[in-house]
Amino acid sequence: MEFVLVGQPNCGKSTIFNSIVGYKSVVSNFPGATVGFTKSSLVLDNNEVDIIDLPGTYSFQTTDEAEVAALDYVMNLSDDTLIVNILDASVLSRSLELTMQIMELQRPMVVALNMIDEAERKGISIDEKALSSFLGVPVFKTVGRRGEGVKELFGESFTLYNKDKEKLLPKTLKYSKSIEETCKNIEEILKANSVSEKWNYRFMAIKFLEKDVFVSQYFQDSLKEGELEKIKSIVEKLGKETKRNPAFIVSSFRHDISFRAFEKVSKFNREKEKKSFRDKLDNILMHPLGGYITLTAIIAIVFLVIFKSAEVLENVVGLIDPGEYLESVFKGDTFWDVLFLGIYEGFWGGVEIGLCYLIPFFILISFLEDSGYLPRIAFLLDSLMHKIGLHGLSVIPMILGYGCTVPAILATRILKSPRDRFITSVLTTLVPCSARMIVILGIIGALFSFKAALGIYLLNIIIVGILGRFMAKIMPEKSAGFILEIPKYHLPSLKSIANKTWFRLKEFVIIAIPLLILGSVVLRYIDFFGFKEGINSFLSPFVGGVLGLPPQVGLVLLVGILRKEDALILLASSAFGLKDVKEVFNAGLMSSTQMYIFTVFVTFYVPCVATVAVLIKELNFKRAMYITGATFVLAIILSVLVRFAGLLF
Amino acid sequence: MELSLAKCQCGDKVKILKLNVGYNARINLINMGLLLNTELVVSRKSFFAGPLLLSVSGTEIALGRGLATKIIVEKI
Repeated sequence: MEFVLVGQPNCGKSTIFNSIVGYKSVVSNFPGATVGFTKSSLVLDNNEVDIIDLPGTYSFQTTDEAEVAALDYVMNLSDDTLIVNILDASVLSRSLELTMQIMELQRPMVVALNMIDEAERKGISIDEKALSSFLGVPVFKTVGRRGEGVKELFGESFTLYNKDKEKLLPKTLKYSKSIEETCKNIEEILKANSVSEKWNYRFMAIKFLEKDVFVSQYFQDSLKEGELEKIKSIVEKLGKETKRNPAFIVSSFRHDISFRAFEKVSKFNREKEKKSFRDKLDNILMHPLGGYITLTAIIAIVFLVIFKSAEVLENVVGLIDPGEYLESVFKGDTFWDVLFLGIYEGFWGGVEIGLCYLIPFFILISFLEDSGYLPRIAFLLDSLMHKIGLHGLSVIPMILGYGCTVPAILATRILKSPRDRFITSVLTTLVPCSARMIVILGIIGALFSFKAALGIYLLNIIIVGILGRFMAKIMPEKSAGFILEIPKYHLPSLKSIANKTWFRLKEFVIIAIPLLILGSVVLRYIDFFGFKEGINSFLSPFVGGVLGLPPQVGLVLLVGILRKEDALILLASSAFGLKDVKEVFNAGLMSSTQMYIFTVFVTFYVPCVATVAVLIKELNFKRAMYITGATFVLAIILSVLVRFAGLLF
Repeated sequence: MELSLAKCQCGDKVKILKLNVGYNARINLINMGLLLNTELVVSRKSFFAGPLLLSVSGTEIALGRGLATKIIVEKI
């Protein structure tokens, strides 16, 4: 058996999912073609059941890939499925609009009235029995954030389902006479074409009325020639009769029914409405002026906390690093020793970045996300992002990019248009991730000043802006515009922050760490077989001639493709046989200009292999290669500019 | 008086008369509860031609200025 959670964005669906699944079972992410949904399992009355968290959708009228993924999933449910529709009780009227569409599937379902505490705070009280009899299915009240009612929701609906699942079938909504007649005509065509019965004909007929592009593509193969056109002409006929676009007749009908249902089952009592400080928070945080001041302050605090905590954590992690011990046991003089040390190095490198940089970063970001501040950043920066041809939502993946590029690229899925997603992915790859942060802080921060390191960040932001503008010029806008729900503020729960941090960290562990290991092993063998000199001299025309760096750096730059943070350690150890970058600088092996060139080049050139892998997965091979090539060219141009700037001073 | 939503001021209570947008944008607006005859309040407006914040039936919706110019409303 399978539970499928369906609900609108911000309804607390994932919170309920996490609260029932907990840490005991492994949450696995199954990315589909482009949009993922989460699946896990749960033990109820000694039965193992699957539970699936679909991406949040406002409706099944599809305009983006997340909605298509959700629609595709609910259209092809297995027979042994119970739909759990989660509603935000504080916006019941709008939430019911999706419920109406789920009801059209005519599948066993239950409804969870989530965030019931939020609704009460707004002075709304809901009669769940009245709602239940209106919908024809059981209704449960829950507060997902505190886990209230969640066990009952799954336990009781499981029992009800096993007793008699027919009883969990919802009522059928009646539309106006003309809509009903049109639906019937379409249903007859579907029947005559013996379209598979697994799809509910009525649901399909309504989708045709809505002119859903996805659904008509779906039926291209199952319908005989000319039948699709026949359906389309029936729909157009309705449009002519009613003088309205059929696509919107159904949705406004549902809107009206939802509103009437809402008025029928709920009571609003102004006296019970509680205004809290949360309502006043936006007077500062979204103030046309104060909003930007607080935003700058918050970002500054986030970075300061990460820099400082990384410093402390690196020392702590350094204490338990078994590296020196392992090097003394495995001398690195046999083939297997080298393999082992390579694996260890890659793994430990990943552990260091993960523990020292990513965990603090993800904790802070998850806090901002759960508190509801991220959408407000999108609001505040929308006009700025418009200047580079994107809109506010693109800011979110780019902010995540300061942690690790891999989950950041995955986060571009929140963008609706493929064009926006492509441009944002390109810009996100350029945002210095924590591995690059290590290089920037370790070279520029350590040798010159903290301010100089910030200068590199500023340079990066400017370049990202220019490039974004350039890309927007060559890919003219055709996006759906900026519409975003701004959720209420919430005090994030520790459990949810831990979950999210773990989830993002896992994307890093699964995709990045194996590649880090591969990179280190390759590097070790290059050294072992004595290829180092050969590679360096092969690269020297480029490294020396174009970039103006010492030839020893060649291999270091090559390795940086695999592991960017390694560039820092290797610059000292592998290239010059010294302990750290300070020694290299003090020995006069590299000038300050060369240090800047090196840092700029490493910051901008070719995304690491893990990023390329995720770009291929999210975009396609060709586009990933374009991005890789373009960043390389960009890095060369900038490095050469730094080189000439160095000559002037 | 008919005017575009983008021209409304903070605190204006308005009713939607026309949605001069394409299919996808219209569905997105409908999904957020912005249909014909919907009443809403402009609760915030940002500087530099940034988005508007609308209060619609208990939710807060940020709407880009571009879309806002295509929505025709009347003050109520």
